Amino acid sequence: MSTTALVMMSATWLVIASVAGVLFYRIVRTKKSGDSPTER
Amino acid sequence: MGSSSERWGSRVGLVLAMAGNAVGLGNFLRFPAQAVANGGGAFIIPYLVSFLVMGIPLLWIEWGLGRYGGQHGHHSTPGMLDVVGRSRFWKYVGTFGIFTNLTVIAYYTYIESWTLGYVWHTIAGTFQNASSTEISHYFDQYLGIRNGGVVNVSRQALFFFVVTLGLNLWILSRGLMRGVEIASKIGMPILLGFSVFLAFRILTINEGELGAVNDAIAGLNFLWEPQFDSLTNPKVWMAAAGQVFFTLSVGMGSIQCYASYLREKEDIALSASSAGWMNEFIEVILGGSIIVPVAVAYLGLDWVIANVGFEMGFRTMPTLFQHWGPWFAAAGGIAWFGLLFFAGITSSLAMGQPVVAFLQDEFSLSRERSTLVLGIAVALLAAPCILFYELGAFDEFDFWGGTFSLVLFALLESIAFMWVFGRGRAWEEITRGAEIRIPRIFSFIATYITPLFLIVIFLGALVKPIGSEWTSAFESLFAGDGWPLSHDSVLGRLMNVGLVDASAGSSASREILVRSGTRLLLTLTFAAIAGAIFVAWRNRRKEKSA
Repeated sequence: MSTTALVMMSATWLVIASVAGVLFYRIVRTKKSGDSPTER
Repeated sequence: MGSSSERWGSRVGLVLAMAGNAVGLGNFLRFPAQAVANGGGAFIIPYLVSFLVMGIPLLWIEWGLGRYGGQHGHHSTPGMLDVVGRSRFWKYVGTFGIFTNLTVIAYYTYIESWTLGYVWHTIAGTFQNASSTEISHYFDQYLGIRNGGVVNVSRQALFFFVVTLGLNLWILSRGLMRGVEIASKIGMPILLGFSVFLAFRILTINEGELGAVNDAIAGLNFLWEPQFDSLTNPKVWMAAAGQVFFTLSVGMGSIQCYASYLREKEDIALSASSAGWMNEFIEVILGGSIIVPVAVAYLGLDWVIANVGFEMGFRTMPTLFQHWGPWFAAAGGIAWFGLLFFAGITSSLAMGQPVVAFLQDEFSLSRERSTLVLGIAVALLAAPCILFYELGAFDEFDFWGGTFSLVLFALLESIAFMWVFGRGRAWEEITRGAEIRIPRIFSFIATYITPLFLIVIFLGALVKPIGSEWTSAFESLFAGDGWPLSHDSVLGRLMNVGLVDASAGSSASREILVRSGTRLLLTLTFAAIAGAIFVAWRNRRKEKSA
C-alpha cells in the first residue's frame, strides 16, 4: 500500500472512529431515554 | 397504544434505530463505487466537507422539526410542517414525507427480499460448485429477467418479497418500543459483527492464496490513493454531496418521525450527531473495506473499475466466496447477504413508521389497521416495480421517489424550519436539552450554506450532463453546441432522452410506455396523499367546530 494512501486512510479512519466512538460513549453513559441531565 | 403516547425506551435504542435508518445497502454498495469513480482517497475531502456543512445541519434540522412536531401530536411531516409553517400551504409540502417513504419502501423491500433469498440459497448450497457465469446468470433467473418476456415474474422472488414485507409489517405492528427498537437493537450489532468478520477475512487475503490474483490490501490502496487534481472537478463535489445526502436518509420524513417520539427537553444535538457519525463509521471504514478489496483480490483492478456497483453484490460476491472452501464460503455468504438484509430492514422499518403514524394521528386508525393499510399500499405500488423491472418501472420509482423528491423536500423543509419558523426559534429548538455544545456558526451554516448546497444539488440533478462531465458540458454550451443532457437528469427523464432516439425499436416504445405510466402512477400517488391530508384537516376543522 502506498504511503499517501495509507496516510489518507489512517487519518480518515482515526477521525471518524474517534468522533463516532466518543459520541456513542456519551450516549451509552446516560443510557435511559429521559435520563439526560436536563431531564433530571 | 396511540401514536402520541408512544416513546423510545432507551437512548441507545433510539440512536441505533436512527443509525439503522441511515445505514442501508448504499453504505456497502454505493459508497465504494462513488469513491472509486471520483478520485479515490481525495473523494473523502469533499465528502467530509459535505457531511459537516450539509449532512450534520440537516440531521439537526430534521430532529428539531420532528421533536417540535411530536410535542404538537404530529409524527409525520404534514402535521409537523403545518405547525412550523405560517400558511396552509406547508402541510401539503409535508406530502413528500409520506410519498417518499411509501414509494421507496415499495421497491426497497423488494431489494431487501433479494438479500433474504440469497441468504437462503447460500444455506441451501445453490452456489456450490457453480461457475462464475452460472452464478451471475442466477441473478437474472432469481428475478425472472432477461428471458425475453415483457413481464418479469419469478415465484421465488415473489415469495421472498412477501416474507420480507410481512416481517416488516409484523415488526411495525408491534409498536415503536416492542418492534422497531428491539429490531434495531438486535439488527445493528449483528450487522456490525458480520461487517467486521467480512472485512477482517477479506483484508487478510494474499495473492496466490484461495485463488486470489492480488492482495486484498491492493483494493484498499486503490480506494484510498488520493488523486488531488480531482478536487477541482465539480463532478467530484456533486458526487460527494449526493453521497452524503443519500447515505444519511435525510429528506425522507423518517428521521423527523423517529425524533417526534422524544420528550420536549430530551437532547437531540448529541443523539443526532452520534447517529450520523455511526453511519459514517459503517460506511467509510466497514463499507470501504469489503466489496472493493475482495473484488480487486479476485478479479483485478480493471474489472472493478468497469463493474463495481450494486448488482456486483449479487452477481459476483457468491463466486468470490466459493474460493474460501465450503464452510467459509457459506459463512461469508450468510454474513454478506445477512448484513445487507439487516441494513435493509432497519431502513425499511424507518420508512414504514411515518406512514403508520400519519394514519394513526390524522385518521385515528389503530396501529394494526394503519399497518394493514401500509401493507396494501406497498403491495400495490411494488407490483409494477416487480413486474416491469426490466422496462424501467423500478428505476423510475428509485429516481422520483428515492432521489428527486428527497432533495426537493430537504430543501423545502430547511427553508420552512430555518426561515419560516425562524432562525432564532429553530436554533433554540435544536439546542434545547443539548448534551454537547454546538458551535454558533452552525446556525449560520444551517440557515444559508445548507440550503445553498441543496439548491446546487437540485439544479445539478435537474440538468445533469452526460457522464456528469460539467466542465465539458459548459464548453459545449459556450461553443454553441447545446447542453449534453444526461438521460439520468430530471429534464432528461421527462424528455425520455436516449429512449426517443431509439424509438424505432418496439422495446424502446414499450419502455417509454412503462416509464410514462409509472410517472403517472407516482403523480397519482402524490395527489392521493395530498388529498388524504386535505380530508384529514377538513375533518379536524369539523371536529373543532362541533
